[in-house]
Amino acid sequence: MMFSIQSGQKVLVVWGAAPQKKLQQLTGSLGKVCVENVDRLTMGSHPTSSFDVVLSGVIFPQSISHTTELLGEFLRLVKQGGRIILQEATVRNTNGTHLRTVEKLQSDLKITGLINIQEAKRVSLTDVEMQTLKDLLNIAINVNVVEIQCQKPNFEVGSSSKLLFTEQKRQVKPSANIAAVWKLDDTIDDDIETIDENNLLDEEDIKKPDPASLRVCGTTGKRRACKNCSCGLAEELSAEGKAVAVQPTQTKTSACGNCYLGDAFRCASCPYLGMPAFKPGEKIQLSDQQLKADV
Amino acid sequence: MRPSHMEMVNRKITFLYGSQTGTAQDVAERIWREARIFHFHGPVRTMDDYPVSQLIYEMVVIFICSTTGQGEEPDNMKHFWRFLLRKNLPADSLQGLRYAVLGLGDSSYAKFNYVAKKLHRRLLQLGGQPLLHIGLADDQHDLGANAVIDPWINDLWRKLSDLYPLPDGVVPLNKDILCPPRWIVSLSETAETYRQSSSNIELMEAKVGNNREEEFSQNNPCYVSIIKNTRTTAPLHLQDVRLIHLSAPKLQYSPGDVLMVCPHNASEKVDQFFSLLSCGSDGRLGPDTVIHVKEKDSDAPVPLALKHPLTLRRCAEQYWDLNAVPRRYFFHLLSNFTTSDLEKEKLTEFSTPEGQEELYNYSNRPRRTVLEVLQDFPQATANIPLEYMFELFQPIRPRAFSVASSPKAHNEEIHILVAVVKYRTKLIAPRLGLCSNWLAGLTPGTNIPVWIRRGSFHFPLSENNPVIMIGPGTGVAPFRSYIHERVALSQASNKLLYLFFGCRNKNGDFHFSNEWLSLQEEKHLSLFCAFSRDQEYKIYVQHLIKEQAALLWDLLSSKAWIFLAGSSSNMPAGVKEAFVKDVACGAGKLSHDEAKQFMQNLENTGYFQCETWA
Repeated sequence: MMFSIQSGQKVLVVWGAAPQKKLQQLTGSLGKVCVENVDRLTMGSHPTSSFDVVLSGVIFPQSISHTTELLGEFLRLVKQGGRIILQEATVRNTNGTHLRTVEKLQSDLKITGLINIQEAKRVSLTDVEMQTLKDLLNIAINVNVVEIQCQKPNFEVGSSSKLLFTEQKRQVKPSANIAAVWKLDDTIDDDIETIDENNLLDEEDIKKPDPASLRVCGTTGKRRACKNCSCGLAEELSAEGKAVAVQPTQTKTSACGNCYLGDAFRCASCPYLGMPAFKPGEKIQLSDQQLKADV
Repeated sequence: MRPSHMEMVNRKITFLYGSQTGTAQDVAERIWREARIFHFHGPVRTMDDYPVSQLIYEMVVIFICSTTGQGEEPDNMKHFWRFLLRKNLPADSLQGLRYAVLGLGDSSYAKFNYVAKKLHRRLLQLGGQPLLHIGLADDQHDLGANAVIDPWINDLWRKLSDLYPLPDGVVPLNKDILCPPRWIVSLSETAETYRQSSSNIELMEAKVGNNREEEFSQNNPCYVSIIKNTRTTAPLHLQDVRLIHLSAPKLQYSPGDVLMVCPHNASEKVDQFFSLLSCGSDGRLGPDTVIHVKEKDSDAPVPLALKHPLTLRRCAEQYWDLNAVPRRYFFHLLSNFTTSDLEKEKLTEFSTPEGQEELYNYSNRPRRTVLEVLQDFPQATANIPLEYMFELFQPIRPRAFSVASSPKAHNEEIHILVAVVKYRTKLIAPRLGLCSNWLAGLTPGTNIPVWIRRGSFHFPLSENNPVIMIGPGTGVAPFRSYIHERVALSQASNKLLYLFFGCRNKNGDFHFSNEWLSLQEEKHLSLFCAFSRDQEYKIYVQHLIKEQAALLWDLLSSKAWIFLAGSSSNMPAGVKEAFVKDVACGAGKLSHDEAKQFMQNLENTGYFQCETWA
């Protein structure tokens, strides 16, 4: 159970529901080790790229679900080229469960940018252990605990290492196999099988931005007019939602003398708002609606 | 000092965009312009214009895409996206590619920026390396999309400058200087040259009947003539909706297809435009002035419409969109041309990050048009150099209309149902939709250039399964096409065809009421109608779905197809919810989760198809 850790390497052990004794057994045998509970991991502010190896969920019971968010944090914490070894409970058929199949787990690892994803190794459990795990995960069918090793690439997104001039000259040379597939002879592609694009998104992608982050000023209470409304009903909306400074007087008068210049130069109380620019001295007819103040 | 040629080879960036209304295109072109400041270069193209098989050879690509409709990708990236979704693409296809994705969306929609999110993921799946985090611009932000776009673009340049530093002795250009125009625009040498080369074009346009048999497209439109242009809504009804009959013997189409129309600016607007220009110092810029547009750089090829010499009148009428709402770059350009200090100060303010809120209030929110802005800044307008007109004014975009006629029933004709767009903002003059108002004003006998585009509906060919069609308002158009086709094939029965229609008033905007009522009488069609404003409480199509839940569940159990078409942003969600809650859960007795999965499966397998428009 040593995970090929070399002496001197800095290891992060992430646990979900492990009993303390087992935790100590593992960490005692490793060198420099940090131990974090999965729920508290993001609170501990470990610096970026500080670990050689991350061991996650490797102690029974293997209850950790490696979400995109969690894997992203691992990617941040581990050094370039560092290893991540995780164990997770998987199922053969996901109907009605919150667990993944092995294939989905591997695919999800890939999507986060991890490389050299090894073949999943089966972790055997006794019957008693299996039942305990099932109870913990609140699942009725048998699970298959697998261990997968993978690596963080050497190219760090966000690093600012300058490329050598010689590297820059290198042209992209995809293999013949790739080039053969990326042909466009078959432009009528109705029959070519495609992946289900809905699988590209996970729960985080479905989230919308926090409405508070979209506001600029709380006091003016600005509201957007419905931009799709094009059938004549927008009059109601624009009458409702105007955020114009309210003048206490009954009639609108110009406060700046710039009326003829156009809306870009007019003040908020200008009776000519909404009309095009005109020549100074030109007689413009204002409707009653324009002369009344917005209340 | 500029980088050497060899060095420039490695400073290539490709900019690819998917844009439905032109906003994403605008942003893409902005990023493309800014790239030059850092001595990067490369083409800016729609994704569908780009040969996708080349992607495996690219080193740096920036993607800009909006999300439209019900979470779908814009039309000009559909093919590109479909290719990327191919299962057989190896996982390391794009390992040599560094990319960045900027998405434009609106978080009031459920599928906020789904297109950009999916693109980012797929590129990652295919081995691409992201340069930075995905940008998710949101129209719901008080400052609009730029609140996200501006900082994201800055991050992008920082990142690219780190990865591709400039060679020694080369520095970035001053970003405040005016960017040179993308093409060379010059006045024609002689009127003679114009007459010779343009005669071919006139000939092509005049000969209505003589259209090439190959597929028609924007570059090769089919000329069709107006037979009838009638208002279908009652005279006092608040909305004007037109049924336009076109004579189109050469156009092949099927139910579900869409007619593409490229409108012109109204002639009063064109006249207004030239009267504003005539106040200018350059007396040569009149409607009859003939110009040449020539390519300057292979990164910016000249579009087909501008390849031959043409008059400024033609540009102002058919090419430049004078009805569009101008964007930030428009104001930046004008600030360089004006001779008035007052104007310059305001125009400059509108192009700064601090001035965005004010700009939004001035132009976006009230939907102020290009022409109206030109009127407000007469000194700037009077001094616009000819070659910058193509930077200021964007090309008119074609619009799509679901074909409402059936090839078999309406021989050699094409019908479209057009809701005339007219609404008010705080501006005194009402806002007018360019295309709908242009179409509404066309008289019988006029010829217009159009082409057919395949719609997204795949109607069933066999007559075995029931077909449920939900099409409130103008959404009923594609269903009129399909239903009449079935009637012409003697395959229409009220046990197979079910139409759910909704509008405001039975006597106001009940489109094609005579046809539906007779078809119902003849037992060719089962009809359900919701007239939302005919009574105190509102009745919408989703209420009809609830009412007919038992029937609908029966139909779904016999493998019925469901089609949904229409224009409201709330209606599709409301209808889908009614299917889940009232039909699948209520009548079908499924649990909520099972019901959602059931409807999702119908969507995934093509048994539930939606086509909605803004």
